Amino acid sequence: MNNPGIQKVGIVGEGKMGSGLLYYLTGFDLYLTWSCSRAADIDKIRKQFGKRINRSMESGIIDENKHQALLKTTITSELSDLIDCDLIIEAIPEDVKLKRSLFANLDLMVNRGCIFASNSSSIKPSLLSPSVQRQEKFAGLHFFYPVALKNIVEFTVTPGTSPVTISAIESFLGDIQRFYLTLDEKNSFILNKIFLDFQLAAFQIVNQGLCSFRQMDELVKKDFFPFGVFDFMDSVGTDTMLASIQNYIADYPHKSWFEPLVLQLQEMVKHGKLGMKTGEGFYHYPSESISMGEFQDSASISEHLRQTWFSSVKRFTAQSHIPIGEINFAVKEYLGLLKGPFES
Amino acid sequence: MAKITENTRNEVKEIVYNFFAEECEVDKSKINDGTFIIKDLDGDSLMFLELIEIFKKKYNLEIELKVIGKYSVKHPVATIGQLIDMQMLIIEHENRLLDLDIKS
Repeated sequence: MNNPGIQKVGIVGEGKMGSGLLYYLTGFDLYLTWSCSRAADIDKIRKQFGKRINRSMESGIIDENKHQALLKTTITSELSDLIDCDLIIEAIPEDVKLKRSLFANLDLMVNRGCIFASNSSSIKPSLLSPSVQRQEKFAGLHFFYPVALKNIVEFTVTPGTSPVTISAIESFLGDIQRFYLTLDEKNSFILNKIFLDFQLAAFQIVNQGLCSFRQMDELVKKDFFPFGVFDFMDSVGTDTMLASIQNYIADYPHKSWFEPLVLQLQEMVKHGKLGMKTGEGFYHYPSESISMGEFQDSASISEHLRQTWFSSVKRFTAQSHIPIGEINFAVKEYLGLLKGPFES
Repeated sequence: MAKITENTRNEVKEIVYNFFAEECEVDKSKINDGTFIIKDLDGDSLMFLELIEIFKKKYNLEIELKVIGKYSVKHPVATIGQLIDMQMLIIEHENRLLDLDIKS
C-alpha cells in the first residue's frame, strides 16, 4: 500500500455485499475489522472465515505470513471495535433511518480522522451525512456485486466532501485495484440510471401489449445484454427495484414517465411477488426457459430500444462530463458486456 | 489450453464435493450434481470465487476474474453439476473462455 492514510478498514454489514467486500479486501495488505449486526451469528461467521483462510493456505493461494496477518482480522458485533479505523464502509440494508442511526453512533465513538462511506446503491450520501459532524469525511462508495468480479466502483462526493477525503479515497481505490468513476450527487448511481432508462422503455413496450415479458427478455438477451430486463428485476427483487427507482427519480423533473413501472412494482410488492426470493415476480421460480420465438415488430422494437440505450448513455455521459472511455469501460463491467456502447 | 481427461473431471468433482461438504457442513453423500448451490446448500458467490482460486492454483491457470465475471453473467450456475461443467471450461479455455460465446 503506498497510501499510509488508509490502512485500517472497517466493514459494517454481513450480507452479500458486506461479506463480498470484506473477502475482496483480504487480498490486500490492510487491517480489517468486520462489524456484524447479529451477535448470535458471530461465532458462525468467525468459524467460516477461519475455514476459508485455512483452505486458502492449504491450497497454496496464500502463504503462512498472509495467513497470520488475516488471523488478526477482527470480527465483531461491537461498533466500538471500529474505533481506530481510517475508513469505514457501511453495507447494511437500504434504509435511510437505519443508515443515519449507524453513522450517528459511529460518529460518537470512532477516531475523528476516520472517513465514512456508504455502499448504498440508491441513497445519496448527502441524505446520510447530516447525521454526523464530520461531513467533510463522508462519501458514497458503491461497489457492485459480486465485488471480486465487477471491477467498478461509483465514488460519489457530496458538496461537503473535502479534497483531502477525495484524494484519500481515490488513492485507496487505486490501491485495491478497482476502477472508479468520481461522481457528484446529480450523477450518483449513473450506471443504474442509464440502465433504468432502458428498463423503462422495455416495460412501456410490454405495457402497450406489443409483446410479453418473456418475449421482451428474449429479445433483450438476443440483441443487447446477457440477461433480460425482467429477469434482472426478479433477481434483484421487485421491492429493492421499487425503492431504488423511487430514490433515483426523486429529483427528476419528468418522474411521471416512470409511474406505470412504479405502479406495477408497487402492485407486485403488495402481493408478495418479490422475485426469485419469493418464488414469484415477473416469472415463477424455479423457472423453465421457454422459447417464445420471434414476434411481430421485434425488429422495430429492437431498434427503438437501441436508440433509447444510446441516447441515454450519451445524455448521462455529457451531463456527467465523464470521459467516454471511462463510461464505456464502466458500462461493460456493470452489465458484463464484451463491447461497450461506444465500441463498434 | 489444458488437456482435459476423464481423470481431470473426476478430480474436479472430488474437490468440489469435498469443498461444499466442508463449507456447508453437510454429509458429502447428500451432495450430487443436481444439488442446488443456493437453495439446497445455502451457498453464495464467495464459495464460487474460492473454488476458482483453488483451481487456478492447482492447475496453474491463466484466467482473470473479469473474464469469469463476464462469462457467468450469461451462463449463470445454479447446481453443483453446472459448477463442475463451468470449472472444466475454465480449466480448458482459461482466458479464452469468452471466445466460446463469440463462436456460438
